[in-house]
Amino acid sequence: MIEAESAPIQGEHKEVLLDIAEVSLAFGGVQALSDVSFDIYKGEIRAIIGPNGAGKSSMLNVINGFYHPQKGTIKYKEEVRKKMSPHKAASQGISRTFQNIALFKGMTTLDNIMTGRILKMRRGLLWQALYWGPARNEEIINREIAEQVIDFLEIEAIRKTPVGKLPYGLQKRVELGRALAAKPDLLLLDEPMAGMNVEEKEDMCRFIIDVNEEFGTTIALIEHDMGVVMDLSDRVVVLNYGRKIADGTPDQVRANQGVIDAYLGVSHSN
Amino acid sequence: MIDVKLAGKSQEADAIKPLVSDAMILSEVDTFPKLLKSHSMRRGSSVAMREKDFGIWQSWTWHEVAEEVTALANGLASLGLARGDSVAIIGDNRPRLYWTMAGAQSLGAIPVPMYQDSVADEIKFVLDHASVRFAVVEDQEQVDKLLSILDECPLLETIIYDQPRGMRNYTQEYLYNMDDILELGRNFGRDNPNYFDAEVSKGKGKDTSIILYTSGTTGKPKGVVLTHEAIIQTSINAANQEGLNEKDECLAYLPMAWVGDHVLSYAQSYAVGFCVSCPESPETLLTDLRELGPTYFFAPPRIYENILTSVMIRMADSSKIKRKLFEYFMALARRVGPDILDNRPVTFINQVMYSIGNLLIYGPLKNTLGFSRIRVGYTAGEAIGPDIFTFYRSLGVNLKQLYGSTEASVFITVQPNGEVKPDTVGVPTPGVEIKLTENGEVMFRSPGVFKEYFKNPEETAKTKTSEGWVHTGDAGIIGEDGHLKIIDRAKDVGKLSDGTMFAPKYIENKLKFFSHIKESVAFGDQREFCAVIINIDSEAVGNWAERSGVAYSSYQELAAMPAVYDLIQEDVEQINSELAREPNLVGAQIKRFLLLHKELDADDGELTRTRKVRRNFIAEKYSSAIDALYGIENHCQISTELMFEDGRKGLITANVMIRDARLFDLDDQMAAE
Repeated sequence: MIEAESAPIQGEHKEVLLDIAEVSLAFGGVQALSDVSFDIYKGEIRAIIGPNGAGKSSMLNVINGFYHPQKGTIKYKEEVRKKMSPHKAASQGISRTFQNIALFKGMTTLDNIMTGRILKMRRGLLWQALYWGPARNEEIINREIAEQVIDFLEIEAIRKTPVGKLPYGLQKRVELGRALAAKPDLLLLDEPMAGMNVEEKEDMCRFIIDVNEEFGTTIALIEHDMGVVMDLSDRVVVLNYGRKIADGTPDQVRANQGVIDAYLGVSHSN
Repeated sequence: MIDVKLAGKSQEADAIKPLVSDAMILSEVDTFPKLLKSHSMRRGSSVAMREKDFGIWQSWTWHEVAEEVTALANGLASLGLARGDSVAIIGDNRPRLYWTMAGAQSLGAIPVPMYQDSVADEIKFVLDHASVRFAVVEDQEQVDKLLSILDECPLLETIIYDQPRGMRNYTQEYLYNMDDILELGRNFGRDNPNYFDAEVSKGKGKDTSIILYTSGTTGKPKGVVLTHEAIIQTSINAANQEGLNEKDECLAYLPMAWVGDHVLSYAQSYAVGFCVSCPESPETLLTDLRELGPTYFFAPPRIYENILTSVMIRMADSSKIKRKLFEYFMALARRVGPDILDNRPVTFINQVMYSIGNLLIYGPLKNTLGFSRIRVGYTAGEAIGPDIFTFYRSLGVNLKQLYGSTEASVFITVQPNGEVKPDTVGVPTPGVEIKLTENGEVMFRSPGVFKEYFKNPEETAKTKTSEGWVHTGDAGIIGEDGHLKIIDRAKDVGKLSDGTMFAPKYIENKLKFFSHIKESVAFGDQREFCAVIINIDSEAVGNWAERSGVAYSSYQELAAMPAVYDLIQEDVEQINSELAREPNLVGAQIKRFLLLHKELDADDGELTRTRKVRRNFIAEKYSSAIDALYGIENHCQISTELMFEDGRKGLITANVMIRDARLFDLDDQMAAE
C-alpha cells in the first residue's frame, strides 16, 4: 500500500491544512467568488456544494492555482501563498481530477497513471531516453507506485488498454488513479460521480473513503449527488452566486434555511 | 450388468516415471505435506509457485513454500487447530490459500475449500456439516459473508484473512490478518522446533486429505471425502500417462473448491513437482495466460469458446489481406492439422504448406492466446462443439477431452495422444476400470475412489458398491475402439417404444453445435420415434438470409420459411447419418422436426436461468405441437401465451410446418464408408 504521507487526525483538535480567507474572484464584470472564507482540516473529506454557477469549480481552480483571486489570502500548510501556478500547487502536494475527464485518450491506463509521477522525476529527458543508472531506478520506483495505485483501484485488467476505449466510469477511475499517483496531501475531486450509474457511484464512494482512511489523504470534492455528499463528507461548505451561504456538518447544512432556499428557490411576493 | 468392461493400462507398463516413484509413495512419502518436504529437500531452489502481484510475476521456490507452509501450520497450531479439525478455505486462487491447505494437512486437519461465490446460506450449511472451527478466507467480501452467519454457526471460532484491504475498522478479536498468523507461527516454530516435523510424520496415506462439497443440483451438497493415497495415486497415474514432469507449468484459475483445480493445481503439482501460477485477478486471466504460456491447461468448453469468438471477431475487423490469409491457412489447418498433430501421414506438399502457415498464422496466433507451449490441454465438464475442438487441434494445440468426477479424484477416462476424436471422452486412465450397467449407466473403479460422503452413509451406500464400483449417474456407450461416449444423465435416458435407447441431451447437443440452431428439445421416451422442436439462431440464420437475399420481417416469419426448413433439414439429416453409425442409437434418429415460431426464453419458464432446456415444461406448454409431431398432418396450429416485460400477457398463434427427415440404415453407412 502507499504509505500515508500525512496521518488521519484523531480527536477534536484539528490541524488546518488549507485556510481560505475572504477570497474574491472576478472575470471582468462577472463576480465568480465574493469574500469566500473556509478552511479544510487535515485528513477530512470536505464537500463544496451549490447550485449551477455557484462558483464551485472556480473555487477549486483557485485552490490549485489556476485562477488568481483579486482579493483575499490562501494559507496552505501554514504558509501564505503568493503568486501561484498549477504546477507549483502540484509539487506542493495538491492533485485534482476534472469535471470533464482530462486523460490522454491514446495512452494506456498505466501510462496515464505514470504521468501522475512526472513531477516527482528528477532525471531529464536524455537520462530517461538512455534508461540507464539513476533514471532506470527512478522509473522502477515510479512504476511500483503506479502499480500500487492500479492494485488499489482494482484496474489490473485494463492496465494496457488505451484509455479512450474504456467506458466512462472506468475513465473516471483512471483519472483518480493519476491524481493518486502523485501521492497528494490534498486531493481535489471535481464531480467524481457525474454521469455514473448507481453501481459505479458505490464503487467510487468506496475508493474515496479508502483513499481518505487508508492513506490519510485530505479530500475536497464538488458533487451534485446530495446522498453521496451527505454520506461521505465530514463538513460541507455551500456556495450560491459566488458567496458562502452555509458551512458545517452535513446535518447542520441540511437544516439550514438559506441552503434550502438556494436549492428550492424562494417565492418573491412583493 | 452386461459384460462391457474396460480397464486402463496397468500401472507398471509406462516408461516415464515421475519424480516420486510409486513404491516411494506407498511407503514413505504418502501425504501431501511429505511430498512438499521431499521437494523442498531435493530441489528446494526450483520454482514451485507464482503469482502476479503489482504487475510483476512474483515467485516462490519449493523451499520458500515449505517455509511458508511451516509458519502457517505453526500459526494455526498456536491458535489451537488440532488433528481432525476442519479448516474452511474460501477465495480466489491465491498462493497463501493453497499453502493453507498444505498447512492444515501438515497438522492432520482437513481443508474444506468452498466456492468463492457461494452465498452465505450455502456456506453456513457446509460450515455446520463439516464442523468447521477455522475459516481462512481471501478478503473483506468473504469475511463479511462469514460475519453475517456467525450467530448461526456456533462452532466457527476463528477467521483469518489474506487481504487486509478494507479491514481497518474490523476489531473483532477472532479476526486475524494472515501476516500476523505467519509471525505467530514463526515464533511458535522457534519455541517448538520439532513440533511441525513430528506432526507431518504422524500423517498416513489413508488419512482424509480433503473434503470437497459437490454442488448438488437437487438437495443438499454432499461432502466427498478423499484420502491422500487416492489423490496422489490418481495424480501420478494420470501424469505418467501424459508424461508430465517438473518442467511443466499450469495456471490455477478454476475454483479451488472444484476437484479439477485441486488435482491439477495442487495434487499433481505436489506429486510431479511442476510450477503453478495464480493470475493477478479473475479479470486478467487471458492476459496472464498469454504472458505465462502454460504447458498444461484445463478449461471448461466455455472458455475455449470465448477465446475462439474473440479471435474470430478480431479477424473480421482486420484488413482484407490478413483475412484472406487467415481463411486460407485455417482451411488448410482444418484439413491436415489434426493429422499432423497425431503423427498420421500427410502429403509432402501439405506438410510444407502447414509449416508456412505455422510461420505466418498458427504460431503468432497461438502466441497471442498463450497456447504456444501447451503440451496437454484438457476440456471437461460438458460436451464441446466439434468446431471449437477441431479449431484448436488444427492449430497444433493438443486439446483432449477428459471425463472425471469428484468421486474419482478427477480422472476416469482421457483421450490418449493419437486417438483424439471430437465426440468421445477417451479410454480409462491407468489403474481405472469402467463398465456399463444394463440401463447404460457408467460405473468405475480406481485407486482414486472416494472414501465416503461425509456424514452421509446412506448416499455412500447408494453410490459406492461393496466391491468399490462407483455409480456416476451418467449414461454412456463404449464404442468398438474402446472409447467411452457420455450421452446424457442416466436418469434422463429413456427408451423408444421398440426398446431403443433414447438420450435426449445427446441429440440436442449435437443439434446445438450447428451454428443455425440455437436450442432444441428432443422427445421420444415411450414413443415410436424421436421428434424434435428446434429454435433457429436468429443471428446466424438472419446472416444467412442477408447473404442469400431473403427478406423477412420477424423471427416468426424467418422460422416459417421453407428455405430455412431446408437449411435445418440438412443439419438434422447429418445428425441422423451420424447416429446411424452407432449400433445402439441407430433407431433413435430424428424422424420429424419443426421450427418453433418463438425463441425459448427463461422469462417464459422454458429455460432455466442457466439456459438449460426445461423439457417437461415445454412438453406441457407445446403439447399441441408434440401431438402434431406424432400425428400425420404436416403442419400444426400453436398458440402460446407470452409475458411482456411490463407484466402484460399476450397470445401469439402460428401455423407451424412439420418436416420429415431422411433416416439412414446402419448398413447404408457401412456401405458409404
